[in-house]
Amino acid sequence: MAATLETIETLEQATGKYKYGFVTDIESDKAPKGLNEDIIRFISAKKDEPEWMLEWRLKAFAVWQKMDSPDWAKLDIPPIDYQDAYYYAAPKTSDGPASLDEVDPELLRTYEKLGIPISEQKLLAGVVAVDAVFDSVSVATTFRDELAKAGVIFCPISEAIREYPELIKTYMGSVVPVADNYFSALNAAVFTDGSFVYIPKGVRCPMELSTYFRINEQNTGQFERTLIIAEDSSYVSYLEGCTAPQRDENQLHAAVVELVAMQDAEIKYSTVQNWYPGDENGKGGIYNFVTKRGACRGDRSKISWTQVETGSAITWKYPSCILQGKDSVGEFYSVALTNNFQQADTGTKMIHIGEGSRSTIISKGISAGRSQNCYRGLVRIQPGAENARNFTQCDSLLVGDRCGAHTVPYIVSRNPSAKIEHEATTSRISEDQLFYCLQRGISEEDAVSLIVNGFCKEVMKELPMEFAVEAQKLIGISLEGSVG
Amino acid sequence: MPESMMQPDLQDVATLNGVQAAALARWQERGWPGAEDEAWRFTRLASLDKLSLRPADANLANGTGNLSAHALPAGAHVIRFHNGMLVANSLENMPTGISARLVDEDDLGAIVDLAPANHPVTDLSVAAMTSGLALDAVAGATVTTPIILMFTGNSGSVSTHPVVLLRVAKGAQAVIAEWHSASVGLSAPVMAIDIADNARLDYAKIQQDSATTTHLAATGIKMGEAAVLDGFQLSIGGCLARLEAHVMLAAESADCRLSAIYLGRRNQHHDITTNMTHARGHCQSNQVIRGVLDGAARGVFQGKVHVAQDAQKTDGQQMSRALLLSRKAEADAKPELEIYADDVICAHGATVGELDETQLFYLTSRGISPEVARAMLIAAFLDDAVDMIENADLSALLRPHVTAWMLAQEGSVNA
Repeated sequence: MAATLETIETLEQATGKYKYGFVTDIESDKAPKGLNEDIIRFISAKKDEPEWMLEWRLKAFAVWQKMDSPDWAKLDIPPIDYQDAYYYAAPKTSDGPASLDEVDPELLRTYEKLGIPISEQKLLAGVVAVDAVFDSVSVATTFRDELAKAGVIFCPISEAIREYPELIKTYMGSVVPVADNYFSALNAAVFTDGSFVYIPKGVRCPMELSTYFRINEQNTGQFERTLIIAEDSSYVSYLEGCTAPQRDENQLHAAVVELVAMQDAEIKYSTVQNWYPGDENGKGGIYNFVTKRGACRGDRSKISWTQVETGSAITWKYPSCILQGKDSVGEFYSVALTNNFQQADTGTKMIHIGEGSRSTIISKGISAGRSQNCYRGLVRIQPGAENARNFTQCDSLLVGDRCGAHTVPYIVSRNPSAKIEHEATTSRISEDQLFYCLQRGISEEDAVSLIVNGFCKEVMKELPMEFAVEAQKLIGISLEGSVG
Repeated sequence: MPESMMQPDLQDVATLNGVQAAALARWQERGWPGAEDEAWRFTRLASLDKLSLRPADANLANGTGNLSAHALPAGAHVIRFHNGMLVANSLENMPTGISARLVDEDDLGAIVDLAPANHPVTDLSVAAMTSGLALDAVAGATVTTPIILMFTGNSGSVSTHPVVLLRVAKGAQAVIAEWHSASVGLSAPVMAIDIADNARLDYAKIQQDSATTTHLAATGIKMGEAAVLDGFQLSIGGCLARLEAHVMLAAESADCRLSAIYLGRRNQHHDITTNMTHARGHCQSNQVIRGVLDGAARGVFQGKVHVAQDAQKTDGQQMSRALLLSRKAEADAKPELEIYADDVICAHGATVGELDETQLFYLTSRGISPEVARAMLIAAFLDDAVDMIENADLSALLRPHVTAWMLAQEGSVNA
């Protein structure tokens, strides 16, 4: 796209407030408000789950009830009434749609507004497969056939529970145990849907897999659960993008994502998170409390997390890698942008267990308005991680003098041959750079967007093409109102 | 109250009033930090619970604690504390420009304001104070004579709680060293330092307590406009040592350097914790931290730089590096930036690793034996921090300890 056209587009979007702020009116099939064992039984029954899954959920619920909400993050979280929310909402359909034609046209239009025209996806000749999640139920999945030919399983997790119970029993909860933390336990009890991906031995997934998560129904928390398994010598790139309609009440989102990479396997997981951040007075917005973790089980396996976090009122998210395999590799590339009254406490954990394991952490935090942005990360070297290597770079950029940028890295090294390097800087947009742009006729807002995008370039280049374009625009939109 | 280190027997001080009573109440309410306390996540005190200690009393003031063999700087004035009790005659013949006396109630109030707030050591040691000293450098005085606060002790069953208020008045200059070489159960000194406008303090702390001593220090420093602190902490001794210093840059243009070295071997646990608060603009802070760990030692560095919203034009720098010499050693670091102002330059860095093989090879290929080469590289590694000390007397006081530690290094030679 020509640069000028893109700039015009960005400007148009920037003037339109929250671009994705609309509510689709579709009658919902809701569970009653509140959280108890009956609700969990209801969800399990709705999903037509086997008995063992229900038991798993109930056990998780029992664990959750004994836990306390974590308070160590640099976040000011208003008390959440877990009994005052709906835990299940599905778009009303008698049977699952057999084809795109059967999908509610209202839904399809919603996706079009979001920029994922499913009806056009097939014409676009197999670039991306979308397992679109609308509220809590997967309603349309494309390119299943092409994937099936390669032996790749890509389906809603509820379907996987029915169709591939052995895989689910083996892997679900093996990376993020039920009792790992408050929100993972909650998710295990009430998760409604999510994606399941299985890449067999030696297969390079023929396309990038993509899921759009979207919160639609008022007052329904979304509890997605995603599980990706990459067998020996396989490769998969997975994209996750999020937008949500504008609303005033806070919404809770507590997803769990588990990745398993076997010997020589590689998983690339990219996220653009653009949920409603609340208005300029800090009213409303999504609470995004996510547990994402990948296990590099096999030798030379690799897991790479890339995230662009611009949305949500509160973000609590630490995509992590457990580097068990010899010479396994973990990567974390992150841009976290906060504006107005947004709060973000995000980072990663790299647990080095295997010999020669390596990890790279590049984090770019941008704070504007009255927001608080915190990087929190752990690099742990276990005694057996001979010659392990970590490099961490955390840069923070402050836009305005009413926001905060914080960096809290934890380093624990128990092996002398391991090399760990951490560096962090905090600064603001340089006057020189700004002057240079203004002097060439670029408006201040565009100049800031340009400079911030430059600041994030190291992370942006890790994103797949489709995402990179959207992410750049997002950064411009999210910074709206932060200067001048 | 059980007679354990976690709850020292405070019956003798139970009749306190005023500032000390308030501190006691705070201590009794909170006690030692538990496993959940984020500020103490790398340094757990639970294992020390079995120790049975009580605060030292006046009977233990007169001892023969040996002065260290290391030479004191020429003309230095030594103020001695033995088993936490001030040795009275050491306040005689103070250098001109310095006044020294026992603390009064007002001083205690000032100490609580300066020392780390809501801190177990501050509260416990103010409540159970064994001796309190108020040292003042009078306005405008330039005192170049080093004053050495020497802490000795020989009773393993006591806890010592010396409390010192050090004020460097407007435009004054002073050189103060804190030297801990005690063999007691718990050494818990509180240092409250106030450096007024345009004043300068050259300060060094040497923690060289015995291998059975637990050293938990709370140091609070407040800096006025254009005040200068050239500070350094060295932690070598003790079984468990935590040197915690909080600095408040309370006025513009203050300049704080607070570097540190920790050297650990056997089962030692060293913790250097700093909390640098930039409350006003145009201040700078710089911290260079170096640690070397051998045996099964564990080293911890936690350093927080807090920049308040009004503290524009802040320059906050911090660099921590740890060297692991043994397979069983562990290094933990938690550098932290908390920034609320936008026009600042703040950076921190942290590394952990072993000696660089290419550097070793470079030296050995030139005919230097591996042992000597290692010693040279460790010395150079530590020099980055030691070279930060500007005052020649303090530098001379400190260096021999670093050298001595290296000479005692298993497997090293007298390089």
